[in-house]
Amino acid sequence: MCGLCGFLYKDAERHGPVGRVMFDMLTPLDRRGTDSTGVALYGEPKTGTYVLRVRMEANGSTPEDVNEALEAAGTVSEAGHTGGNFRARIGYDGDLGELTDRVEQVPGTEVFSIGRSMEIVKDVGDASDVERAAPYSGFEGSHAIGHTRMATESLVDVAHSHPFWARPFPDISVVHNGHITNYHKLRRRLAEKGHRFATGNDSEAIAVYIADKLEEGNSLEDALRSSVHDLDGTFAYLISTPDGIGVARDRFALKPLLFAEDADQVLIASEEIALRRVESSSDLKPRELGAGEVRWWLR
Amino acid sequence: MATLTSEIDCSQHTTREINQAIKRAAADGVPEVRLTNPAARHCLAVAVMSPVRVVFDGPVGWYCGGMSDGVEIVVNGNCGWSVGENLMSGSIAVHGNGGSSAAATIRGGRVFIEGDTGARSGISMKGGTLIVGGSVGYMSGFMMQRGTMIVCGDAGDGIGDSMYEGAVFVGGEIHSLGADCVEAELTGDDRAVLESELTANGIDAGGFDWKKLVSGRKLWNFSKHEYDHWRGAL
Repeated sequence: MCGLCGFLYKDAERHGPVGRVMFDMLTPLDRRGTDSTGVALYGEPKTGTYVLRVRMEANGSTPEDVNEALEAAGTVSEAGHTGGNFRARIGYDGDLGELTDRVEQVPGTEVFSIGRSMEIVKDVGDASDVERAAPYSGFEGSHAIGHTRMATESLVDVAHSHPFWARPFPDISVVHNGHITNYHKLRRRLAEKGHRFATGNDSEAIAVYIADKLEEGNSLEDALRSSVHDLDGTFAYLISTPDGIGVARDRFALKPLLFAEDADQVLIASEEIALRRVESSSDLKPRELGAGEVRWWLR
Repeated sequence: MATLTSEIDCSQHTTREINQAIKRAAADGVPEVRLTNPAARHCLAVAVMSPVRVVFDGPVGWYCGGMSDGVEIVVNGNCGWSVGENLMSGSIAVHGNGGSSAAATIRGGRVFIEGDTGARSGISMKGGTLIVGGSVGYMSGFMMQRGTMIVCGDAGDGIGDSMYEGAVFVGGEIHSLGADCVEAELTGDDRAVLESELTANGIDAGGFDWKKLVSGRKLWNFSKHEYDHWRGAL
């Protein structure tokens, strides 16, 4: 049992307090699990640069070590950290897999995300714990997805927290509630194509699966529809890209997911209680996603 | 008997305080409790065992009205999963959309959802009536044992799967029938039931192409000679 949420401004030019929206939606979803909480936030992209979010383990390397590794690869700006959460922007035109490797060669580090606009913030604990560890509620952006986790199989730690970045594809991440029972096979197929994974978590495989489909030239709609057939098990998930958010639910509709939209915005959550924290209008009519149904919203 | 309507602002109370206040009002003979700002909170008005009218001005969350007996609940908004679960008698009217498993295992009373509901609506009904003004999701009516389900809109895949008894009426399209669910002739008595139940909820029963679904009774008793029925059901 995990909690999912998402928010998107439909107008391609519009930005707003998506960090605050995520915090408000995630707070009531804590009843669905507080092992960890995380968000993928989409801000204003800056041409020619990527923004990195890197986790540094306590008693591990210093921010200076990470900065040094980045400066050897490109032009670094906006570098800073809160506790073990490091953030920087880098002017870089090389392979993102190589950049990820270069940073993770610094002992005790894990790259959470690399993107033109996407930044992943996550940690163990509930929404407030994560806000204290790595403040995100002040983030202004176009859209975002969030997750509260009740761990069932893999470890309760930061590395296994959602959202998962579809490494090394920039700006693609996933949050998932459920259990993908054929993920070993799915992961092996993706690994044979050269894709890599940071964890053994089944949800990470969804992110890479969708990113792979998009890289092959499929539309987000096609990728979502394929996933309903290719993923075995129970799932409700949100996938976010630079342009929007897609959602899918398994053919047995075992995991809750509903959405509501008006002319300006889209709200998605496991439970309506999360939607109502940010939108109380009775004009907004949430509806459950059907069994095997997919939806997507592009800005 | 008290005549005043009791009013509760949910935003100022815990769920336990709200439910205790509803039960206290019912015990004191207050005819109506009106609740504002429910904000889709879970487990509201559960296990209310006295006849009282409870009105929510706003959406409620999961399990609203569950395990109640004799209560009359009106929700001016949506409801979450399992509204009215195991209702014994009374009524719940939701003027919005519902979630999955609406009216699960009800034994009596009426649950009316004005909009759509999700998967497994009316699962394992043991009596009572579920009326859905819109469409129902996957596997609705699964393992129905008694009672009546009326769906004005469409029915998702697997409607009435493995139902033992009872009747499901569908006014829209049926995506697919579940295991051992068959269409039966619509009788004059059936039409009278539809008109009565729907008129009470402000719906004209005449505007639909009603289909009646019942159990095919092939799964009532195991027979090794009907292996295909069981293989399909399991």
